Amino acid sequence: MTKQCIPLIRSPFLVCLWVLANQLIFAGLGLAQPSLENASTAAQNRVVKIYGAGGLAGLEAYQSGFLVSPEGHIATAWSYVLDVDPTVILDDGRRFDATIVGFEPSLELAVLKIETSDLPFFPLGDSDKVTWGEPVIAVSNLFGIATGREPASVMQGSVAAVTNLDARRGTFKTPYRGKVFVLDLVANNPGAAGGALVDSEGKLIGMLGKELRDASTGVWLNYAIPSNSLRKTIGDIVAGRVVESIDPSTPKLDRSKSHSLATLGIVMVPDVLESTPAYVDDIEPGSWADRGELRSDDLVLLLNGVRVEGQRSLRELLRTIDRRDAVELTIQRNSQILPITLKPE
Amino acid sequence: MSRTLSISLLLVTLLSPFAMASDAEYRELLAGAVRATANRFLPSIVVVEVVGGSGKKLGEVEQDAPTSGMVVDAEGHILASDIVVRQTSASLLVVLADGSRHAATVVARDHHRGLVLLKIKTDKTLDPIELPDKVTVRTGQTIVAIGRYGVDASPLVSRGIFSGMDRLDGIAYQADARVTASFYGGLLVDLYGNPLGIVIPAVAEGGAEAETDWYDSGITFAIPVDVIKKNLDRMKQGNDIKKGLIGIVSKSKDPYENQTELAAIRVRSPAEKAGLKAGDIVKTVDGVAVKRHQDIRLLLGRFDAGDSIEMVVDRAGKEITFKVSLSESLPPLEPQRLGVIVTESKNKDFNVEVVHVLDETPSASSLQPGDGIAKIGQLKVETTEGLRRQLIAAEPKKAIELTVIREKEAKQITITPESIESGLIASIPDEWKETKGEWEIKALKLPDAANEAAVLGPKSDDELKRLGLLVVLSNPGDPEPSELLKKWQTKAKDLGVVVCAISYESNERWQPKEIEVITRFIASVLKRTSVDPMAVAVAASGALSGEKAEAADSMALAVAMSASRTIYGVAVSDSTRPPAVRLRENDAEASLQVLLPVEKESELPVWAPTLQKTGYPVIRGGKVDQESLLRWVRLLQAV
Repeated sequence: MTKQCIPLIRSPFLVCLWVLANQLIFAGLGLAQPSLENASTAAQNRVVKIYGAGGLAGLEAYQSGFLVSPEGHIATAWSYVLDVDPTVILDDGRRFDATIVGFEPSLELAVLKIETSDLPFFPLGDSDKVTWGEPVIAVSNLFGIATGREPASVMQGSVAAVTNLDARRGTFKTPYRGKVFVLDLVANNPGAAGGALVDSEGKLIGMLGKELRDASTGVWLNYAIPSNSLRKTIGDIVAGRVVESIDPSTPKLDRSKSHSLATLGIVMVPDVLESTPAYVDDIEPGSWADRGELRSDDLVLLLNGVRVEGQRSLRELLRTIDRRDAVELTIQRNSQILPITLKPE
Repeated sequence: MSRTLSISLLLVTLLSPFAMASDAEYRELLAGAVRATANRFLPSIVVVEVVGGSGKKLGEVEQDAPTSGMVVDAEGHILASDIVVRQTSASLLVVLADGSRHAATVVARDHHRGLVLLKIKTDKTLDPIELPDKVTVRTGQTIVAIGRYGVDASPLVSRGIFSGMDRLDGIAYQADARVTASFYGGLLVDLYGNPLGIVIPAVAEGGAEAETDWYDSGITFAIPVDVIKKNLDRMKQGNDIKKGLIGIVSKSKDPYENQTELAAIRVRSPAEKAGLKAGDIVKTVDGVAVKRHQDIRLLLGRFDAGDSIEMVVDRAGKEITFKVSLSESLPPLEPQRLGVIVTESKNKDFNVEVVHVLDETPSASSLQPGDGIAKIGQLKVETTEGLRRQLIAAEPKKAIELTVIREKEAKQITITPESIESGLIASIPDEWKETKGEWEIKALKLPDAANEAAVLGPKSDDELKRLGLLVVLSNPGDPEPSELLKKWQTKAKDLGVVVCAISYESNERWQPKEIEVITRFIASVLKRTSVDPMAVAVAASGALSGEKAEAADSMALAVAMSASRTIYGVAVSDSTRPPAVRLRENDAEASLQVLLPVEKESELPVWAPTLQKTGYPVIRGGKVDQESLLRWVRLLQAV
């Protein structure tokens, strides 16, 4: 079969005819098996619409969710929509009052429960195998298009990148700091949060996140939180176990315990701009910085691997580091990029 | 999986007569092909980080947003979008595929295409992309956009099809891959592993405020790699690339009209140096036949300053070939005028007729109403617009010879035009002073526009012709538009200028997106009243002497600069804060006048010389009151 076809590749014209002929024949026989349709329908059956609080100041009072157990457990995004016990509408139009049985803000996750049984549901698939380029389907109640008994909207695209959310401090509006799937489709619209991201076979691989701007570029992100990040917590909540709170954020330490420019012996150039670059002005003799051979006019680029946008972000990052610990800097000196370690004695 | 194998498999599965691939299989196979293609180029793709940047955001995009770039040779040259150098920054860093960071220096910039060439010093063996001399691509072909993203420089890949070429005045390809801002500077390739272009932030003319606004929209622009290859050596030597300008003025009002005649040649321009003349009909540009001015524009768009092109023109039935060497700038326009109101009249000997001669202008003593202007120099005058463009592009202080038909006899009349900047014309023709009929104020509402607006104009305008239109933008705290117009009532009727007052949409301020709304209001007024389309101006209250500059003054300037083919005059306060819009060169095809209420040259604001250098006549109106402002508006139609 393969051999027969190879010559065809060389002749685009013939290829066209051949494909056309095939389509005509097979359309006639009805033999084609569109499994994408199956995957879409299966996903639609498992995605629900959630209506709750909000509706103020232009915020939508609805979002999406998906069934994770036959008894009516629903995973969704933890948001203001859940300020009151929400109403859930299944794809067949049935309406339920839901209760919130658990939530984990650090994952942007909440689990709801409706009183019914024998529902179709998503087993949480393994998302670790998903790499960039993976074809995906996103199913959600974006823009509240499907308001009544009609099933949620289905969109297709690919995973554009698998990466960590940029943890730039201050501007970020989610506590989630783990891995995300960046999508090449405009999936994160109002109402889409909590929707399902499934692969071509219809397996759940992630949950669409809330509308969020990328901290580094400033543009709207299209992303999903991988199912592997959610699996354990959803499992714990559904099983009624105590949820171990995960706090991925690095807390600020007390000023007397954390590092600061002073503990390291660094004097920066005057901070006069909105974002003054982290240029070293002077070094205290005998300080950590002096021993580490940091010099005047060095520009600090990274602190323990995290990007330093300016002096303010450098000062804030230092607050999260114990003043007894060594500090890894990446600096620019003229045109050289150098690693520098600052440590006690 | 190798690239060829994956594509073959894809094709085989799709083409197999016995086993139609399911759409899911098709998607998996296509994903395999996309991954194989991207993997081949990813070693050459880098992240460009901006450190310690200071400046404004570019639309939604942060001024220090990390974007992509590509290694183009083993010596460490990196090509990227010039978005990384549009703001000053402390440092530029290139993050290679292995995650190592390197300080980069700027080698050269391509201003024409929005690219920058960077250089890093490294001992690492680099994996450069081989740029082809020629790109072959067809619309509909599958393409892949490749960039890198995040602190870890993760691969970032999007797929789509090729949408078209010759976009953005001939410089860019278009594709439908959805690319987020991190893709800028990234590579566009086909599934066979051929590099096609480098992704740039851009929107089509008038499409959006910021060049980054079309991210993720499915409209992606990329600069063809063969053009980059052609310029790369020049850039490596540190030479910036700029758009090549020629200096021709089209005759047709509409660039899509089927004709390529030249109305005028800009003074001391490459076209003039090469020997092109007004009246020449362009046949080919760089060997390609052209039918419309838009064709010429697209073809010229591909060339840079310093490039030479061949043009074939038809001059009085004879085809002549010219070699034109394009330059990076043209001497700015210094628009001139004769001081007449003309009309088109189909006549045996002439097509343009003088209707009124304006007092105290260069024509006052030499031209008469009823004169037919048959020729300017050796060139036949066929349209009023052609005559106007000739004057706009004319050399200052240089006498021109007109062939005038007066009482069926041809006469040669020599006139030295005056600069539009030389001042306001003293009076309107007497015939225009008798505006008959009643004038009224009516509210104006447009669908999908929340702005309040009202128009002061004639109840029925059967007898009135060639009125002017003044659009007044209101300030926070002003009365509503219909109320605001009351103080214009007498003068507007006396001088025959329709006045339209528009207020901002909301939030007590003007927003850039309202520029388009204002042009829609103008179009709507033009449709219902006999306003001469050339006599349209926009103003704010600061245009009158004694009033202070407010937000509406900046907005009026922004509107006039952006809607150059609708608005021909703008009057604002001399202390107006210049708006943040791109300053285009004034051009003879849509020329704009600026009126300021100042007397002396020393009173001009600091931004006035910038406007003059880009070809805008800045008229010192002295003490500007309602009457002189309205008179100026009506006389915008003078030639």
